[in-house]
Amino acid sequence: MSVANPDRDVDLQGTYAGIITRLSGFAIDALVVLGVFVLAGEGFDYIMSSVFGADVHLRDAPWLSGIVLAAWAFFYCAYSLAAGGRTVGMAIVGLRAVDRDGAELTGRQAVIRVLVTPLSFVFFFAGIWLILIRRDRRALHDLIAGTAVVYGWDARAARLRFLAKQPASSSS
Amino acid sequence: MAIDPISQPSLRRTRRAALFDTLKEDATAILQSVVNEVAPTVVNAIDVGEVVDRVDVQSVLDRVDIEAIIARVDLNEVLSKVDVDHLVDRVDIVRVLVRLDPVVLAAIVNGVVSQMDLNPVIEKIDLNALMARIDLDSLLERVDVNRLMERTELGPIIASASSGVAGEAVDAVRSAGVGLDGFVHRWADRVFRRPVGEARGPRLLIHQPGEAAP
Repeated sequence: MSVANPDRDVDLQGTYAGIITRLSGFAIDALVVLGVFVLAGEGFDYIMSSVFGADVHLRDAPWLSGIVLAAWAFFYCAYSLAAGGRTVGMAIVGLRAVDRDGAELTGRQAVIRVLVTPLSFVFFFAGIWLILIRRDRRALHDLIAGTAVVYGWDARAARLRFLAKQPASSSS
Repeated sequence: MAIDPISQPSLRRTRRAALFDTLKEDATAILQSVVNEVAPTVVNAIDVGEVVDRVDVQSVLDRVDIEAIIARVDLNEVLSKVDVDHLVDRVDIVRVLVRLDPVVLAAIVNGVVSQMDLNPVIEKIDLNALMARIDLDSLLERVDVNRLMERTELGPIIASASSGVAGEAVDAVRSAGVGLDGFVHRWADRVFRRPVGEARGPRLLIHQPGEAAP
């Protein structure tokens, strides 16, 4: 099993993405959302105590924290998808969400996709397993929103970087 | 009893015929000498040009049934007697081509080229020998790199390709992810008894087999 294969990666651009990269992107997004939320929560607590002199901690209000976290996660994912077709996690692993025909994602599709994503994780991740079962590798939230996820990064530039690193004797 | 030969009738007839032959030959010789003397004078006296002028050529031609003549001609037989190779050898092709209208010439060349099977020609070309004769250094010196960069997407590619360690790390992560995807989905294809690696992509992003590119 080859790991780095730039020529293969160039050919795969625009094809349906697999389950490993999709879950990796999701995990990175989850870390980003939680990390930013924690940092923002700490910042909020600090500002409330230092500026207003109030001893307020967000962790003391779990329902409110949950609602804020959900709103933040929704905003982060929906805005990223609507603006560029990818979240930070998807961009890092080289994924792009598109319309099921391959066209750019609309704002409506982005919002629906983010809202129904939790459904894919219920019943033992049944909606996620669809990525392995279906030939077009679309999860439940993709089917509902009419979207698909494809490989989409600048693989040609990556290939040039890879070739530039090779010794002159092996590249000739 | 002696026989008088003159009195014999057959002998008399023979002598008479010989006499007539002699007279006829003499007369012919005299007539020939007269004709030889007179004919040139007569011919010189005739104005051939005037005679030709008096001939009504059009009426002569009107009486000629050209179609009937043509109908009686066996063209196949005529053509079979023509030595085409010899005829072609005598044709100066270059002169013919020079006189042709460039549009007609281009149409002929296109027609010929479209019917040619170039594969045998290409197979005979020794690309290595051809490349060996090309002076790539002098060729590259003539390339205007700045114009090339402006007209192609090389600029952005080189700019993005020259990023640092972080870019290389991301490249490695992406490539590894794709490799793991391929590994997992190959097994999934085997489990579900599907043709391995059949998954392609959305219609607008991937040229599907048997379908025109979007």
